[in-house]
Amino acid sequence: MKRIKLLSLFMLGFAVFLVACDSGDNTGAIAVVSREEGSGARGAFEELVDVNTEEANTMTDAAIIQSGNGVVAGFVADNQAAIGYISFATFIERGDALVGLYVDGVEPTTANMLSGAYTLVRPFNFVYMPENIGIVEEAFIAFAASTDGLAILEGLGAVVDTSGAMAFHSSDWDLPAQTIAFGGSTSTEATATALMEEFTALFPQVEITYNASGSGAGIVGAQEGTYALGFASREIRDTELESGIHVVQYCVDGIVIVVNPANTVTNLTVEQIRAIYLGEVTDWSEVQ
Amino acid sequence: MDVEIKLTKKRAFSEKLFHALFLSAGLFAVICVTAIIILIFTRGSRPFMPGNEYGTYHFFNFLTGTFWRPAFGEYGVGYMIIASLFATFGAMLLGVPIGILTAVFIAEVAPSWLAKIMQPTVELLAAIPSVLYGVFGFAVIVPMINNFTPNPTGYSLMAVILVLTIMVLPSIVAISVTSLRAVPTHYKEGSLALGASHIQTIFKVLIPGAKSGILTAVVLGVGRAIGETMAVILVAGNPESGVPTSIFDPVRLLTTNIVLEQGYATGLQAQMLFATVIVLFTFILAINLTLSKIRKKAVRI
Repeated sequence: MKRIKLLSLFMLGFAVFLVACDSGDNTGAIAVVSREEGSGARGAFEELVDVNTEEANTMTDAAIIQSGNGVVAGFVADNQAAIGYISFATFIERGDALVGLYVDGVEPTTANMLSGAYTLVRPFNFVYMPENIGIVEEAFIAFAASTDGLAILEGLGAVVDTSGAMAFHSSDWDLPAQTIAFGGSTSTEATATALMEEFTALFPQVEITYNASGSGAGIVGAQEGTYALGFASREIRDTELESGIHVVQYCVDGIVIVVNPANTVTNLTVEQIRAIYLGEVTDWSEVQ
Repeated sequence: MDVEIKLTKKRAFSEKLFHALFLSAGLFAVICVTAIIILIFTRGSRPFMPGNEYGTYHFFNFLTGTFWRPAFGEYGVGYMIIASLFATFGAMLLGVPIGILTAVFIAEVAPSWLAKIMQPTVELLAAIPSVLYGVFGFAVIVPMINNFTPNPTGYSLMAVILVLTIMVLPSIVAISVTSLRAVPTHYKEGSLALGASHIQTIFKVLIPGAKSGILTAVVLGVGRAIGETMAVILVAGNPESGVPTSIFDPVRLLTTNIVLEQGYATGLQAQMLFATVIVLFTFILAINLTLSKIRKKAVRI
């Protein structure tokens, strides 16, 4: 008896493997993939598409969670029914195995992201009050806009406008020993600190701190003078501009919605993307 | 006389030195375990204590909750506990019979040249880093399940079970082979002499004789399956809610939950990840207690 039980268990296991080799087709139902809670790409996506911003619009339970842009790209490349979102930089690297959807009829390209025609972007800005700016801050602003600064930002996956950018020569600047404070958005922290590290490597006498306190707090901090530069991962509102702050958009954070090359869908509206991630639309036939 | 005393002194010193060396080596492991336990339990219990700086969470809601949504302050690991148990049980259901039959084949049935090739091959499975199993599952098993699953993706409990099945094989096979070979030869001879066939002898005499060793192998396999992380994170799907109702449903396991979010988590979320570790640790502790019980029983026989 025991032997029969064991054997049948074994056969059952083997049958599972055999069934696994059988093929079928299921391109109908949408396979939704998202990044893990806390990732920068997820934060940008949720904010831009308005998913998971409140309890009423939580993401669908069916969403597969994968860690890393590359893993999401692999997921979509392998699954004909998949939809996912990745940073623009990953899309450029892995684009040949994926299709980046047009959003509201606009193709995800560097030019469209910089012009704002492609809507799944958020600007990375820093703001400052002209009267709070000294030579050290001026040097930093010049560095951020230089080819050297833009290369750092591009390396982090940001979309940058390199036209008209010039090289940065540290010998042109004679900076005093000084400690200055930056602060603002948590989303801009990675790009800001990368620029800061390179900058302070060029000028060891300068020390810069970054306080990740949120976009709003960054702007208020710049207005009040607590931060020399305040960083914000959103557009600056008119009411905020009234105080006379200057705004510099130093790069753009772009999100690309990707599907499998076998998928016939090439364009989705932001509303359709939202409906898919909320679980209101679950089949590709509903968005053809 | 003088020389002898010196030598004794020298000997006594080196005896003491090595005694201290052994003691500190042993203490190192004990200190590590103690430090880990203290860290996990102090950090992990904080969110359930009144007056926690990030707010108090009800332990019952934590254990039975089926939503993990840090953005809204919902931290339920109930569905992960169920998924971890299902995954482990499933891997045992497939892995134990395959493992035991493989062990019987190697120990009893196979010609010795084949056994000499097979055993190291199976044991090599244990040496492969677990992330490679994950990559294999990601590249082969998940697309395979894609072909016939009723769900849109192959990321599923089934993918986890298949990956874990392969991973638990080496420990089950290795220990089972050893314990099958340890069954006294005269048991086998007696059985054959009484007219039982070779196969009858295997199932009626050898396997029952190696029972405690095989049980140990199974419990070790359970421990490996429930604690495995890197291999399953790539194939599980890791959804943020939902108790698995079918083998094709994506699952989030206790281990993958911790790894996915540890890199970013701050505040209450970070504390909750430590609380998840407590749950996992409790399972591992239970498994180890079972193991030592089995071993004690085996010694008595």
